[in-house]
Order: sequence, then C-alpha cells, then structure tokens
Amino acid sequence: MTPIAIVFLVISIVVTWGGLIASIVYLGKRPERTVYPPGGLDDDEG
Amino acid sequence: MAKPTAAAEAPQREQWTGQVGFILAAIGSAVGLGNIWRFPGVAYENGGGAFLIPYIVALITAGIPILFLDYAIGHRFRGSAPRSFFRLGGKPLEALGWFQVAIAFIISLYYTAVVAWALSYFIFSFDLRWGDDPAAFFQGDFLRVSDPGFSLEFVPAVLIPLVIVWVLVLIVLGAGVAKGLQRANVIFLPVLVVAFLVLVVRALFLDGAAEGLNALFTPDFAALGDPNVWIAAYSQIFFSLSIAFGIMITYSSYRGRRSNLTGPGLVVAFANSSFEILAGIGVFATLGFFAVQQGVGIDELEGLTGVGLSFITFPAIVSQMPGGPLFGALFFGSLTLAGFTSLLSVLQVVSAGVQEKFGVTRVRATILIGGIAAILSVLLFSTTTGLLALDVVDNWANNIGIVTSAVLTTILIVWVLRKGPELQQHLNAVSTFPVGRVWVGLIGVVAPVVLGYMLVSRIITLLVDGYGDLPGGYLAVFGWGAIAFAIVAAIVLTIVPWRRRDDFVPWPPYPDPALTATVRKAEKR
Repeated sequence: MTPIAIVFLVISIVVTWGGLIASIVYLGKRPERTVYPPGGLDDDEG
Repeated sequence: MAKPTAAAEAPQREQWTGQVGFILAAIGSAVGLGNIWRFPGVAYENGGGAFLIPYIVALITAGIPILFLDYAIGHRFRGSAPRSFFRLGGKPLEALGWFQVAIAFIISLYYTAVVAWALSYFIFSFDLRWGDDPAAFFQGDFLRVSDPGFSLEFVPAVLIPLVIVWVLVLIVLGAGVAKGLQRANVIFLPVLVVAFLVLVVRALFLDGAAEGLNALFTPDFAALGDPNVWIAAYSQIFFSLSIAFGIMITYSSYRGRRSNLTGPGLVVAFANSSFEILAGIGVFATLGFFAVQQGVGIDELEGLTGVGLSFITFPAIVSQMPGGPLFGALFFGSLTLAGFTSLLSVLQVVSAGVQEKFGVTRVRATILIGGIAAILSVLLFSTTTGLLALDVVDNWANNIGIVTSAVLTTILIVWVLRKGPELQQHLNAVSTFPVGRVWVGLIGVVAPVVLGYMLVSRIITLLVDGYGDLPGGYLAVFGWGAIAFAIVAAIVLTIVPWRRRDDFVPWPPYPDPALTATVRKAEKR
C-alpha cells in the first residue's frame, strides 16, 4: 500500500472505531442518570 | 365503529429488557445491506480517503442529530410514529407518521426479496452454482428477468426463499419486542460481526488486496470542492442510520421512561460507521484481488455497488478464489443476517402503528400486516418482472419517500410547532450526554437545507431524465405510484379514529424550571 493510503486507512479506523470505543467507555461510566425529575416510574402506554 | 375505550385500560407497554438489548437491536437495524454494498462504492467514487471528511461532518451535523430527534420523539410520546406524532402535533402530524409507516411497508415488500436472494446465494455458494457467467446466471437462470411490466409468471427459485423469509420474520415479530426482536438481534448481530471479520481478514491476505485498499483510501482532495461529494456523504449517512422513517421512533418508544437516550445513540451511530469502514476494507481488498486476476485496474471494474456488486461481481470473484465457497458463504451469510435484522425493524414500524391505531394484539397485527405484505411481496417481486420493479420502487421509496419524510419532520417540529426546546429538555432530562441549543440548530437548519436540496435535485432529475431508460408509464406506476400510495394511505389512516381514547401526558412536564435547575446541577457534578 502507498503511505498516503495507509495514513487514511489508519485515520478512518481511528475516527470510527475510536469513536465507537470512546462512546462505549463514556456509556460504561455514565450508564444512566443519577438524578431524574419526579415521576416517570410507570411504563404503561399512557 | 366502536367507541374508544378508556385510557385506564391501556396495557403495559412492551420493553427491551435493558440498555444492551436496545443498543443491539438499534445497531441491527442500522447495519443493513447499505453498509455492505453501498458505502464502499460510494466512498471510492467520491474522493476515496478524502470522503472521510464530508462523511464524518455529515455524521456529526445530520446523522447523530436526527437520530437523537427520532429517539426524543418516540421516547417522550411513547408510541409508534403515528401515535407519537399525533401526541406531539395532533392529526396533521399524525399523517406524517402514517406516511412513514407506508414507506416502511413499501420498503419491506422488496427488502424481503433481497434478503431471500442473499439466502439463496448463501446456499449457491457451496457449489458455486452461478458457474462461469454470474451476470447471465443472476438475470437469466435465477431471476428470469423479462421486459418491464407486470407478470404473474412466478419464479420458484425466488418464491420459495421469499416465503421462508416472510415466515421467519413474522415469527420473530409475533414473539414481541423482548422475546422476538431483541433475541434475534442478540443472536444474529454477534454472528454477523464475527462472520464479516473472518471475511475481511481472509480478504486482506488475497493477492491484490493492497491495490484495492490503495484505490479506496488514496484521497482525492479536489473532490472536496464538488458539492455532489458532500451530498453523497450526507445521503450515505442518512440512509445508513435508519433515521426519519419511523424505525428509531418506534424502537425508542420501547425504552422505559427513565432511560438514557443519547449515550446509547452515540454507540449506535459509531457502531454503524465502524461497520461501514470494515465493509469498505473487506469489499475493496476483494475487488483488488479481482482486478489483479483480470489484469485490469480497479477503475476498470464494473458493478461496484448495490445488486451488481453483491450478486454479479462478488460471485465472479468467489469463483476465482482459493476457498471460494467458504468466502461466498461468509459474504452472503453476512448479507442475509444484516438484511434480516434491518427488515425486522422496518416491519415493526408497521406493526406498532396498526396495533396502536386499531387496538389489536401484537399477534393479530403481525398476521394481518404480514399476510397482506407477504402476498404483495410475492406478487410483485417473485415474478419475472421483480428485479425491475424492485429497482424502481427502491429508488423512489428512499430518495423521494424517506427524504420527504425527513424534511417535513424537521421543518414541522422545529419551525412550525417549535418543539425543539421541549425535545432538547427531554433528551437532557433522561440522558447522560447533554445536547445544547446547537442540536436544535442542526436539526432545524442543516438537516432541512441539505436534505431539501437532495430532494429537489432528485425530483428534477427523475422528471427530466427519467430513470434507467425505463418507460415513463412504468415509472409512473411503480415509482411515483409508490409515493402516491403512501400519501393516500397516510390520509386514509389519519381519518380513521383511534380505537383507544388517549389521555396521554408527556413526562417530564415542559417547561419545568425546577427540572432545568436540577438537570444543570447534575450536569455540573
């Protein structure tokens, strides 16, 4: 492969897969809110 | 017509069992045929490595914001697209929900046929049944393509797998959100990822793989000055994420009220793009092998996207490859699984709308919709005229139907009803990744401008140039006719009264100064 193609291959992987890993880590650290407004405990159809 | 019954009788809403189940189902919906057969070719034709720049810009400025918009609508108003829109903006907006349902219904008719083709080719891979001329096999032996028109001459090789796929889809839908949709995605999505990873690794060790990757990733920076390249990027992101035609509204409505939306949304969006890059690497490494075998450059190859790539080019490559049958099985198996999980989500849009409007059970709705859709699907797409009809309906349903839906949704919600701040507050009240006012700006300005331009230019092109040298009358029936059907269905279904009276009150209330203070305080921690 040419150096420029390798660079863009690596950038593509870092941006998309890096974004995926970062978003998974972010979600792992903050899976749900700790504070909610009052209510919202029922889950019927409304 | 029976009088609406009291809201107190409303049943408990179906739910995903948890965050992971929702995320896997949403990724299963987003990762579909387009990731495998559309993205690689689009990237190659629009600047190669440089395409990454408009692609990421489109993901951040339109894809993720519209995904969050869908999540916010479905989760706050807790219903299918028609019911959520009805609760958000009354009858006029309900019609937009039914338009989305109708488009999803149309797409399901032919998407099932493509999944059935992929399933057939998965089996064909083991004995390379397409022989030395995959193009002749696909159009002649397999589909028996005839002239444009409407034929009732069924093709058993398509009809049987099509019926099998319909039966499987309806079984999953009938089993419900947790035991059907979620379970199918929890099983199929990991299998898809593993199978595709094996395929990509194998492709990377083929002679010529480096040439293929050079072709895909060498940047053409001059392309960034071409507006069409940017439109192609927005178009790819838009069609790939399963946004703006009811799927993500429906899926997010099955989350409990106290559920994170934006955090999982980021995972879904980046997972979808990660799979696209993976597909690009796998497909172009394989095309590089083919080009070397043929003694030509990548730019001389034909059939680099869509049906041509999958059912003509890839079979030709598989025939020349050591270990071809296994490679073919991995490719068509992946295509089948990716299509199947997306198909489930498309049909759930229709099923949820019918269940809520007519107050029928999930199983009844599945049988009703499945029966009608399966019959139409068989009549239209398992005959000798199926391929042409599929191509035309697909073009109109996507480029006109879904894009119209997106433009109307963003304009009506942000500019006419001015619900942007309410939906922003909703996202921030339940989510861990806060969205600012810039989010409202992105869905209110960038999305309608870019998508509106796409829509107008496509309509003009179709009216002036036609499509694929097909007769105007044929396009009027199968192309514009599909859109007319969706509009009529939307009007008729909106006029029909809701079976159950609706006393719905959104949670949390808006505007709520206390909530704003609480949320801000929590965000500072």
